[in-house]
Formats: sequence, structure tokens, C-alpha cells
Amino acid sequence: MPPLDPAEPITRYIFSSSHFSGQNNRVKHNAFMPCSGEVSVYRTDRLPEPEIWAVGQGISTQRGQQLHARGDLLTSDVLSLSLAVEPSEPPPWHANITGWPNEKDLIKLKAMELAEKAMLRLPP
Amino acid sequence: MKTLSLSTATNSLDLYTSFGLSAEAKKITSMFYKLDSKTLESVSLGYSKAGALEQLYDAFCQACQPGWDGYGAVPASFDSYVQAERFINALPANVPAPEVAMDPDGEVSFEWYHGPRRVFSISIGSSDELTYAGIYGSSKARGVETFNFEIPRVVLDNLRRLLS
Repeated sequence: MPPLDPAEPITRYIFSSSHFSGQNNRVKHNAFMPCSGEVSVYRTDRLPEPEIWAVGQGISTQRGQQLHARGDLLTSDVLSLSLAVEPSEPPPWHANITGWPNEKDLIKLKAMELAEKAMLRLPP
Repeated sequence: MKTLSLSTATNSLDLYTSFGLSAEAKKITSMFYKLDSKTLESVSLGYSKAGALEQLYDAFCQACQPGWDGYGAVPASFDSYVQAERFINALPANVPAPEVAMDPDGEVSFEWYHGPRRVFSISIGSSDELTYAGIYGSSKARGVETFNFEIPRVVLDNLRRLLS
């Protein structure tokens, strides 16, 4: 698993309808709040758009959760916040955003910065 | 009999629990309760609060099971729900309703979004602690405050800063 290039795109699949706003066309920071110190993302470089959605649908089916949207970022967006993106396969293309601080207010602020940079994508 | 000022009383759930036992006290309590209920029904003052309470209920229902976010989130506790409800009810009427969402740690999150890089959010759980963070262009703010049925001054200051 090669390390991620700063220019490499990643995506966060969103399974909670309260974690994005279709009205404002934005991802909310709650989608980027870590669970057990990690935020699960997928590497999407060179994957065609239908394939990116197919990966999300696969997770959706496996976990019994509806896929509502996804938030696209560049790895450099994460690195600029003194966080890291570490490959974590299997499953294929999986990675984690790591390096989160302990203080929740700082976690929240970093998640808000990620949400500011994220591009909301809705399923076709 | 405990005395409350109007400004304190209208911002606090203590209103319904802390008055004395005399008939007058009960009557005043009842009048305040009716006044607050009417305010909640009013389109100009209460519509946004009612909407926020509805959002809270929906978000809570969605987050009652472990892994509700598809990743292993902690289920929201009823105590968190109650605290969040108290927070909404304590918001001054002139503050716009926040958007409600759940954090993966089971806390309730309120967010006020005022355009790109103008956003303020607080998280509240089952304890009396609330966590906040805000982005105002290139400036940022964050911290932890205690919520005792009244919105902390620093939270109101951040909201003013966001909405100004």
C-alpha cells in the first residue's frame, strides 16, 4: 500500500442524513468527527465516478445503512491541519485520517476546517 | 420562596421548578408556562425553536443504535437528549435556530452556518459541559464551558460575532 500523495483525492462516505446539508450544498463537520481516533476514508484516485459510488454502495449494503452522500477532499487538505492519512487495507482503497488531538474543542475545530474544504457529492 | 428576575426566569427551566408553594407562586408559574408555550407557538419568536426541537428529535431517533453513522458511532443517550432540549429552550428568542446533528461520541451538536468560513458550533452531552468551536474568516475560537440551564456568555458572544 503506497503512502498517499498530497495531491491524491479521498472521500468520506456519509450514512447520516444530519451530516450534510443539501440546501447549503455542504458537508457538516460532524461527518469528519473521529470515532476511536480515526476517520475512515477511501482513496479515489483514478477511480471513475460510478466506481466511487459503487464502493460506497458496497459498504452501505454490508452495514445496512443508507448511503446519503459523500464528501471529497484532497490529502493535502488533511495534512495542512497537522493530521495524517494512513492507508489501511483491507478493504481495497481504504485509509484513515489519524493524528487527532485529545481535546474535543480542537477536534471539532479541525473537523470544521475539513468540512469547509470538502466538496459535497450526492448519489446519481 | 426563591426569587428569580424576569431575564433569568425566561432563560431558565428553573422557572417551572423553583418557585414556592403558595397559590400566588403557582399562579405565576402557570402564567409563565403559558407565556412560554405561546412564544413557542408564535411564528415570529418560537417557530425556529420548535423546528430545532423537531430536528433534535429526528436526529436522536436516527442515532439510538450503535454504529448509526455507518462507522461505529456511540448511540445517543437520553440524558444527552434532555440536555440538548434544555439548551434549545434556553436560547434567547432572537437567536436563529441551529441545525442539529449528532456527533459520533453520542453528543448532540448545534451548528449555526452563516456562509463559507462563518460557522459556529457547540456540542452537548449528558454532563453539564459543552464544547464549542467557531470559524470567522481567518479567525477561530474554541473552548469548553459549563451549561447550567443558561447559555454561557461566551457562547452568546460567539453567536453575536457570527451573526454581526
